[in-house]
Amino acid sequence: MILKNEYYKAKSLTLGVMKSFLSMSYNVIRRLYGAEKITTINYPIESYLYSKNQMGLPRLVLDKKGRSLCTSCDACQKVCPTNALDISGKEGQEPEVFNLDVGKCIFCGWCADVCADKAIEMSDEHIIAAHAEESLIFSFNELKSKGRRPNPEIKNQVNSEGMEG
Amino acid sequence: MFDFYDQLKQEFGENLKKKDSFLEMKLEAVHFHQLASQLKNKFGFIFLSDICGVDNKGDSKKEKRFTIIYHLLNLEEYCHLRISIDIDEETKLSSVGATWPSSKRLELELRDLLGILFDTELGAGFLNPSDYGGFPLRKDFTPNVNGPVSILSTSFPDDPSIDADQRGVRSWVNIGPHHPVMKNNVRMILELEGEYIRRCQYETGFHHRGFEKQAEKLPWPTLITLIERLNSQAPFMCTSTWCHLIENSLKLQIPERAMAIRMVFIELTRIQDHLECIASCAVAAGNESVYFICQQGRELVYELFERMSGSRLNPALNCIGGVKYDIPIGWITDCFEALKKMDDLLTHIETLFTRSSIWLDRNMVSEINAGRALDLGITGPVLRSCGVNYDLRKVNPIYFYSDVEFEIPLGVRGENYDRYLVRMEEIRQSISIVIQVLDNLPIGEVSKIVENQIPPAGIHYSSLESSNGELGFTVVSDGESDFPWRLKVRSPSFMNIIALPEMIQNRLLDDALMSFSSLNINPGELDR
Ligand code: SF4
Ligand code: SF4
Repeated sequence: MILKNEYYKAKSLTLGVMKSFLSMSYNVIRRLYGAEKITTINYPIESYLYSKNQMGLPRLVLDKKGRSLCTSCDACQKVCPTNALDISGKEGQEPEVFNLDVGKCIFCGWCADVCADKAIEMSDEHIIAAHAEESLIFSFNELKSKGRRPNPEIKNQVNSEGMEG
Repeated sequence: MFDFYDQLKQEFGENLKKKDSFLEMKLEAVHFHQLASQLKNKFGFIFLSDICGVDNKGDSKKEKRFTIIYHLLNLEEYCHLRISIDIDEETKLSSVGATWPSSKRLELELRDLLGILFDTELGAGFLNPSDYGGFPLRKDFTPNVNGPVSILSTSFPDDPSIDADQRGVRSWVNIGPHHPVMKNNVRMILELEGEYIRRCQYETGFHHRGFEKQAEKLPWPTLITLIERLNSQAPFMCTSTWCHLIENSLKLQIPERAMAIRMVFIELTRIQDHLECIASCAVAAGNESVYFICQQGRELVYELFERMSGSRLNPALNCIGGVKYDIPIGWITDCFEALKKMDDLLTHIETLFTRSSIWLDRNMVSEINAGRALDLGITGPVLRSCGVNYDLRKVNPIYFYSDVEFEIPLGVRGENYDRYLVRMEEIRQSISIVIQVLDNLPIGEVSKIVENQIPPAGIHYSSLESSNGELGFTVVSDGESDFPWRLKVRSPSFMNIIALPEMIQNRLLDDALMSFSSLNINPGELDR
């Protein structure tokens, strides 16, 4: 399809300015008074929950008694493309060392995909900041409590419907 | 196709082999150089799309040190010819730059990264300084981290066509590497005479991550995480190309639903990337409102991605054998709604830009003509804006591209304005493709479990029409080891940027950034 010739002919300047002005004012009015008025939310207390698939910090899944399901099988460490995981321990038991270096992790989700025991999964926690490199390495016990929002009730209140287009 | 194949067969005899949809030929270095102009003029291989150099050290099956693979394309027949040449370390290769001008930059890359010798002087390189001390893509390369490295010199030699007086009036201006419009790290050095650009040089490599070298150290299954990070604007295109390559080489048929989902997301990515390009053109022209409209449109697409996979920029949605997740409930309705909003936004942009006299005046510059664009190896919307009807979705349709109805917009003059128009129209066509696919979404599973993800031994190539042009991967596998032997990216940005100096020569300084933006160069793809 060859583009139409008239696209290349300029509109009259007055018409152009008028049209642009109308279109801009329509949008300004819509934004100020229309249904799309509210464009922000009170992040991080509220946040959007778009989908059940999350790609945040990998977290450990705990059973009812608060124990990890991990069996130190090492599969996630082998598959991790950035070597962010460091795991050792006897197979079949809880790992002795389970370190996740968030400075290296690229949140690809491969560790969660390969874990046969479903002991590791991706959470929706994205706000991870630290002032030293070492504090970005999370140990087993730290990981147990990470990846859980402080107030889980609030987070689902706003969904994508409230989002501005 | 058959006549054409027979013709070629007559000429080259047993040398020519057919493998899948490719023709393959093994030649001697000298022989190829002699044949080059015949291949171009008699058989119509006017397009050199890629050159890939492979180091064979440590591979017991190969006698000679290097293999150089040339990818030639006959656009009319859509015939892809792959010529591989084995050479020794001492053999000097002849440049084919006289026949295919696009080869120059690729040959420089061969020389700098692989240490291939050429019998003619190619000029200054763009990635390594000459005292770098080693060739990174060789298998026996050990980086000298502490060694002194000189900075690449970028300066203009004296222009012989003007005298000293005129030389005195000229001044140099440096733009970049960090510049708000450039959205990436490229440095432009312009020689000005008054307001007019007389000469232009660009410096790339600020974003070089050693992508191809890294790929040789990642096992096949997790390689996809690296591939995803090739192009930050269109990660889904990269992974789709990659998955297509592996699935093709393994002769794997993926479920129909996965194909449809991939198509939807490929088109959504295209919409998003085109909007990004228009946004950056708008900023370069000083129009902030269109910039924000475009960002709204991109936000719509990112939201759809996030609802699908949980991640906005790198969706991690593709896997070998299909896609990871099925479409969540309610997503399709959301998608239709988003596309409707997108349509409003496009109308809005059109009101402000299309046929507006200011936008026309500022954009009717920087022409590339069709012949030159083909010579330089340009693909994608930039090539189509010159009027060349070459779109891989039409000429080599994968998935359901042959079943959906869409048109390829073609520009007339190859100016910035054409590139803008073509992109706008392509967004509309993409919207229509997404709607058609979602209306006829096949049912069933979305992925197959693939145990063995190692492609059989040999050279594999696969390409896809990404938003910037033909994105392709050449993979050399030995069929058993866990790592690819060599991975080469045929990146559209890498080729498209070659046109820049010619485009903005004798134009106003103001136009430089707009022309640059209209090429939609992506840093990750450019420098790899
Ligand atoms: S998310 Fe990816 S990078 Fe991070 S720990 Fe898991 S496998 Fe490694
Ligand atoms: S998290 Fe899963 S894959 Fe990783 S060691 Fe534990 S059980 Fe194995």
